Formats: sequence, C-alpha cells, structure tokens
Amino acid sequence: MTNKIDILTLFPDMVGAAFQESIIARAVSKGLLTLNCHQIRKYTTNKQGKVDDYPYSGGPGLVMAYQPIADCIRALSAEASAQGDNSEKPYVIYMSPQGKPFNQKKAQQLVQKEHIMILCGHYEGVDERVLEEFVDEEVSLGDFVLTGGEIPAMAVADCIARLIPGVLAEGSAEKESHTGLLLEYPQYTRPAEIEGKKIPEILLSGKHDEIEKWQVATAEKRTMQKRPDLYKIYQEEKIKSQTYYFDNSATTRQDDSVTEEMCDIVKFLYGNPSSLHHMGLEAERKLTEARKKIAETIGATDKEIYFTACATESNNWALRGYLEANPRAGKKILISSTEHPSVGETAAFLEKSGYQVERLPVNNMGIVDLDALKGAITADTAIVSVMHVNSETGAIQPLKEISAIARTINPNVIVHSDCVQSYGKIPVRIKELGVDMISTSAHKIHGPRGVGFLYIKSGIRIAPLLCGGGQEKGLRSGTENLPAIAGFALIAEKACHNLAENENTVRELNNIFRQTLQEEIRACVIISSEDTCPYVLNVAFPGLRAEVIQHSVEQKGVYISVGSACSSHKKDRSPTLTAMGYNNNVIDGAIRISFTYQNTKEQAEFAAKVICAEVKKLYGRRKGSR
Amino acid sequence: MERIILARIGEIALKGLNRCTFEQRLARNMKAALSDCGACKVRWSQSRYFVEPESDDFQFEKAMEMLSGVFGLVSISPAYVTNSEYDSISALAKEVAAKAMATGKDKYTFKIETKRGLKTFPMKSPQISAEIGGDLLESFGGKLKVDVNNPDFILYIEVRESTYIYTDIIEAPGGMPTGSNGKGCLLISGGIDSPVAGYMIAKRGVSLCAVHFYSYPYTSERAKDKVLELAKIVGRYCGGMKVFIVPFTEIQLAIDEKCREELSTVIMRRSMMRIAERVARKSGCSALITGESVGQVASQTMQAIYCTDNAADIPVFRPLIGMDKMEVVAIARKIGTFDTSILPYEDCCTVFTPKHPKTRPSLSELLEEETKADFLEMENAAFEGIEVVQC
Repeated sequence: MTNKIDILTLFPDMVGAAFQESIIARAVSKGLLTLNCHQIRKYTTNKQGKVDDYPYSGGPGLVMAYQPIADCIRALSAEASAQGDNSEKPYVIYMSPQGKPFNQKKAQQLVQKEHIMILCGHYEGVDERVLEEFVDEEVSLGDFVLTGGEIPAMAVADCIARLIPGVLAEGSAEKESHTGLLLEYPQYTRPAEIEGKKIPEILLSGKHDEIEKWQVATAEKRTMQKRPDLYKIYQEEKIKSQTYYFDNSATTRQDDSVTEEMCDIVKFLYGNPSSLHHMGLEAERKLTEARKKIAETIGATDKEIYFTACATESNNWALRGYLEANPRAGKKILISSTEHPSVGETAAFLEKSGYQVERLPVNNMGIVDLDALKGAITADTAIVSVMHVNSETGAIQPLKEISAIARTINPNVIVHSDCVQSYGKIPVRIKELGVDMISTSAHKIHGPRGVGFLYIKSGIRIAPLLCGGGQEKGLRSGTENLPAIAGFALIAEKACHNLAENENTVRELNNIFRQTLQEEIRACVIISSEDTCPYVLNVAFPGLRAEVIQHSVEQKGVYISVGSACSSHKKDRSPTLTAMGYNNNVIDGAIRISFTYQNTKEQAEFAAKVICAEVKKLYGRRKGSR
Repeated sequence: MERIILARIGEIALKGLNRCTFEQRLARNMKAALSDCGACKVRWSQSRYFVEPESDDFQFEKAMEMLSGVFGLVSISPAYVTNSEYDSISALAKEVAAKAMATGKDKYTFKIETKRGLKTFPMKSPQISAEIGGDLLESFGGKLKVDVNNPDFILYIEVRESTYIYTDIIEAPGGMPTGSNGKGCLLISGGIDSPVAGYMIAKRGVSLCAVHFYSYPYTSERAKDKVLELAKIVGRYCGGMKVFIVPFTEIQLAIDEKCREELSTVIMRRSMMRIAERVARKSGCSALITGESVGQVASQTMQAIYCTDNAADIPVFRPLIGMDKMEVVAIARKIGTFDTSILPYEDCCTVFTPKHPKTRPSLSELLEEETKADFLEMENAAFEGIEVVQC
C-alpha cells in the first residue's frame, strides 16, 4: 500500500499548495502518507541552474535534459533505501498524453505500490533516455495537452491518496463511481423537500434492501445514459459472472479475438475476392490464407477445402452432390441410426428419389455395430456416412475401422463423416481416419455462425448444390463470407493447436459433473460412458422431464440442454437414446451438459451443485415417478 | 380525383335513442385505427361514415386495411367524390369506369346502382342509372356493354350533398364498436380456442383484458411469449389488452401433490376461475370469458363445466360453447392466431395432465378435495405475484 509519494517538478510550490488543505493534508498530518515535492533544478550540475535545452531534431520549444532528472531520481531513491522504510524500489510515473489512460482501475493498481514518484514534464517534454532508463509507466489524464505535468500529477496523487486505508471514512471509497464499473447513484441531503422538490420516496422508507436495489437500479440507468461505454463493459462483466453456460454443443460464445478479426475485415478488407482490382486481391489473399490454415488443421491440402454456410449445408452437399455426380457409383447409402437430422433427413430425401438407405444399429454405448456394417456393405453401396462424435452422448465412432472395413469389401465406396462435434475438440486427421469427405462448422468452437466447410478428397467428383458465379472452383457459388471464414480459420488454428491441453481441461470439468451428480443423486443414469468425447455429458434423471430441469436451473444462471438442441424443435424422442436401448422414462429425463475449455472449474462446481439441488427438489415434489 | 373511404354500419342502425353513443364510439375507434395512416377526418351522416384524407401523405391502402378490422363496420369502399350536379356526376362516372376497365380485357360488361339520399336532386335513382349508363356507353363505344345479371363491374353512385362513386365493396367484420359493451376478462392459455373466444366476444363491442396462468419452470418462457403474441393479435381487434400473468406453479404443484389425480384438472380450473374473478373485479370487468366447448376434453364435459362455473361468482361467457374444433380453427385462421397457437410449447393445461381424468366429477367431492390444500393462501400469493403486460 502506498505510504510515500514524491512529486518531481520545476514548480514545487504550485503542487505543494494543493495538498495544504482538506483531506490529503489531514492524511499527511496523521502520518498515513508522506507527500513531498522536489525541485528538479536543485540537482543541476551547471552554474546557471539550466534544466532544459533545444531539441536535436530542431523545431520549437525546449526539452528537459537527462542529467538533473536522473540525479534527482537517484538521490531520492538512495535516500529512501537508506531510511529503510520501504522494501520496494520506487515506482516512477511520468505524466504524458502518450501514456496509458488514468482511471479508477489504474489508481487501484498504483495504490498497491509503496513508494510512488511522479515526474512532471514541462515545455516539450523530457529527454527520451529518461523514459527508457527510469520511468516504469507513462500515465495520461486524457487526450489533451497541458503546459506541464503538474496539474495531472496533483490529480493522480489525490486519487491514489484517498484510496489509502484510513484517509477516507470507512466504506465511502467502496460504493463509488467506477470502482464497481457503475457511476454513482444520485445523492440527496436534508431537507427531504425544498422549493417543492422532493427526494425519491424510497429513501425515506427505511427499507435497506429496497434502497440498495434502488441504488443499483439508478446507478445502472445513469451509467447507461451518461456513459454507454462503461455500461457495456459493466454488462459484459455482469453477464460473465452470472452465466454458467454448459450448452456448448449447441453453440458457443464467439471468441473476442474472432470478433476483432471479423470487425477488422468488415471495416477495412471489404473487397469481393472475385473483384479484379487491388481490394479484391487483398481479400482473395486473406481467403487463401484462411483456406491454408484450415487445411493444415486436418492434414489436407487447401484445394480440398470448400467453405459452406454451415455443417447442414456440408452434409446435404456431400450426400446429394456425390450421388448426383456419380450416378453409377451405386444405389445404396449407409448411415448410422444416430445421425444428426442434416444427414438423416438428407438420406430420407434421397430414399424417396430411389436410393436404398440402410441405417446401421448401434450398441448400448451408441457405437455403430461393425458386424452389421460388414453385412450391409455391398458392391452397390455408394456412400457411407457416420458422424464422428455424437452430439447427444459424445460417443466417438471408430471411423478408422469403419472406413477400413468399408473399403475392404467395396474399394470404391466413399466415406463421409459429420465432424461437427469433433473438429477442434479431438484430433481429426483425414488420412488417419481414412475418410473422403468431412463436414464441420465454426460456431461449435467459438467461431462465427454462418460458416463451415466440406473437405472433399481430391479426385472425388461432386455436383454443386448452388450454381452461379463460380466461387469455390465452381462448386459452391455465392460471394465468400470472408469475415466469417477468416474468423473460423483463426479459431480453428488455435483450437487444433491446443487440442490436448483443452481436452484435459474439459475432462476435468466433465468429471466434476460426473462425480457430483453420481454422489448426490442416486437415481441418475450417466448415459455418456467414460471413453466418450469429454466435451459432452449426457445424464438422465428417470421420472423427471428434462425440459423442467432445464428451466429450473436456468433461474440460477445455469444453461444446459435437453437431448440435442437441434431436436428440441420437435417433440419426438431422441433417436440416439432410443437406438441405444433406453426406455422413455429415461429418455424424457435426459439432459445434455456440454463443455468448452473456456468454462472454469468454479463454474462447473457451481453448476453441478445447482443441478443437484434442483433435481432433488423436483424429485421431492413428484408423486411417484409419472 | 378526390378519393375518400366510405364505411357502412350494421346493427348500430337498429339502436334507438342511445344510437349516438354507439356512433361516437365507432368514430373514435376508427380514428384510433387510422392513427398511423396520416391526417384525415372521420365524420358520419345517415348511417354512412366518411374518412376524408387531409394530407398528401395519407396512406390510403393501409387505412383500408385497418378499417376492415374495425368492429361495428359492415363494409367499406374506396370512393371518388364530386358535387351533386348531373354533369359532374357523369364526368366522374366516366373516369371511375375507365379505372375499372384497366384490367386488360377487350370488352367489359357493367351495371349501375344508384342511391339518392338527396331528395331534391331532380332525377330519381333508376333514371340516374339509365342516363349515366347511356353516357358511358356513348363515350366507351363498343368496349362496354350492359349486363344487369352478371356484370364485370358495378358502378355504385350515391347522390347525397356530395356524390360518391365507387366499384368495390370490401367486407368488414360487423359486430358492435369496441368499448360500447363493457369489459370482460379472457382466460388465455396459448391454445387455439381462447384467442378465438376473445375475438368473438370483442366483436360484440366488449373491451378485453386477459389472464394467463404461468407455470415456470414447468412451462417455458417461450410459452409465455406465445401468449403475449396471441394477446397482441386479438388486441388488434379490440384496441389492445392488458395481460395479467399469474404465477401458478405453486398451486399446480400443491394440487399434484395433495389432491386426487383424476380430479386435478377440474380443481386446477376452479382455482384459475377464482383468481381470474379477482383480476376481473379489480380491473372493472363484469364477466369472465373462456374458450371452452362442450365435450371437447375431459374438463369440458357438462358436469365439469358445471363444477368449474361454480367456483366463480360472476358470469362466465363461453362463446365457443357449441362450436366444433374445425369451426374454431377456421376463425383462428381468419383472425391470424392459428399459426401462433400451434407453436409446440407446453402450456399450463398440458403439463400436469392426469392419465385418466374423471369426466363426471361431482361438486361435493371437489369441495372435499379442495380442503386438502390451503387454496386461499396460495391464491393470495399468486394474486400478489401478478405481472402485468400491456399488449
């Protein structure tokens, strides 16, 4: 905590006078703080007492020289260490418009330093070498220029001094402007009515809880109106601290770095990559760069990556486009019985137009039955599509085995995989998995909505779904969504780089829920087995309704989902859990908790407790288990 | 050509000495409906309302659409105006006929229907029709022919202090002007029926407020939004409505825990009635309105309705009582509530549905069941917790 402030100036009288009165003067006399002003001129080695000289670059004004300032700082530092009061070396601040903006947060940081020296520049400033050698931090009061650093130094010293414990009456520094990111609520003093103007009635009510609520509400309103910039930060912090979002398989919060990247492109790089002029070229370069980055994440070449609007588009395109372009490849489509509707419904659509669709059964862990696969593949099978990670249970399908088996029986078969829930979470390397096409989406890994890609192994012919201007090598026309694509590439690269680390984080969070729920709720059925993808945890509370659990916990800021978010539009029961052999009583009570590496342990612990408490309450309130 | 909107009234014309209060109310409602369409004047005489634009930016088409939903009006027409001199009438008739003939056909058939309110006009109605018809035939030559049975267009001429000529008559909902018949409190669930019930009663000039029973977390916030959306749609017909959202979870849980399952629905509805009655009395309503229809579900059998009705001390109106689901659906489609009603969110009636509800409950057994929980206290708490939303 600060106990000493030295102000180094050419005008010590001007600065000193400010602290002769009121609160700061009392603090000094009580011994809470030593505040001294030092004349830099005293430390000159020349006879004239000259402290400044002409700048080397020419131009108007004078610059304060190195020597007197250096000697002054050294002398004061030596004096302080000789006295042995402080263990730390003095923290030197230089007041300058090019410094970091001074605000309450900065003051709170500075008050942690024991000994602060504030250097006040004058004229055109000080020799740059002073800054390099002695100054720890440059601080600015705002975007304006004064004749010298004295007035800002007074403001900074005053602001720090009042944060020192004992200087103000207890508590008055806490509920104040900016400390809690909000401006202060309106203040009134006696009398309660003057010239017909009354104070708000609530202040006379004596109800302290209500008054406190009023204070927060008015402070919020005031901040919103007067300082929308502050209010935005406040809101962000408030939401962050009160939201326990565990529905990350539905979608994720877009990462701030992605938002920044996208804003930059929207503002500056708005050319159409197809335009022939320079702006178009710049945009095209960005697009190429993004495509390369993405290709690297799965071990493909950039020519094999086709950007789409979403994984649903990718899935539709993969199946329909391949079959359309290869009419003689066969009439049979194999999918698992637990596919996402964007594959399941596409297959159903193709079924109507004459293809034969076989839906492979899964075992009680949700894994495709490989024997059934062996039996199902024939020379007439054109395409096999099996999702990598199941969105409802996290079950990881043995894609490697699946593609190997498929190819042994029919070397011409194409293997497609919906990798929406695996890409950026667990390793997705196309060569190792042996797949020919994969679909992904950005928004499941903190990327933007409205972008995904389809990987198509080179050599595979596919017909476009959208015809037009010939973008994406003529296979996916439509102006490229460059901001989203660049955002996707940015976050995909990050995610794929940190796969192992992120997975560990998430596994830990997953285990917190597993353990807490199992220990606290006897009836709970953990549907996701231990070897599933840790990003998803499906748990059922037989006899309860998942929707009710979801609404109960959301009141505490905990967000989870019912089965799969994509199937919440329909009232049908989850086909995945049905395929896994669970009865309706279990399925109706199944919730999905899904994670991101951005969730914290504290969030997980809190959310797990909330779920336990609410589930217990709900069990307690139900007659029987109907 | 100066264009106005001509609107006709139905039942109001049958009113006796208090007719002017209905007329004034209707004029006020019309003005309110037209408030976003630009400056205009609304006046009436001899069972006709005249909407006369007073600025160039008056949105004529929007005004027509707004008026076609105003209760009390039977039909409306966009009409052209001129002074009541034969030559002016003839000239305007030609212009209006030319407009009606701009649909691209080679030949048109027409007929003229004249009404003469201005009895000092020297010709009688049939004579005006004949003379003007002659003028039209003469000026349009072979392109126009008279057909009194099945004409392509009818040219209506109303000779009053001014003369109005028009070809289109657009249906309006009829009924009585909103606000002319007191106020009712609608129990709205989010299904298909209750909004239609609200519409039906609003059509008779009754202003509405609504009560919704909200069982969060057993129903979702989306279910609440859906109810508010429905209230907004019905509100368009009756000058808006306040929706009272009653927190009902505790009561439902208590019924579920303590009362016999097969009676739970009727007990719940009785509790709803009691709370709705309080809301009704507090907001100046003289009746409750529900979307019940005899025999539709177990809680709407004659006996169940008798038991439900018994819980309230003010009249309960059920405008759909004798209607089939298909008839209700047809009205719901017409008034625009159907698509919202069928959104798949749970409403308060479906969450706690018993497997085998009793279709013939007796009042005495219900009263006995109701002693098992402290309904008065829970209903007090629910009433205190009401949230009000203006739709």
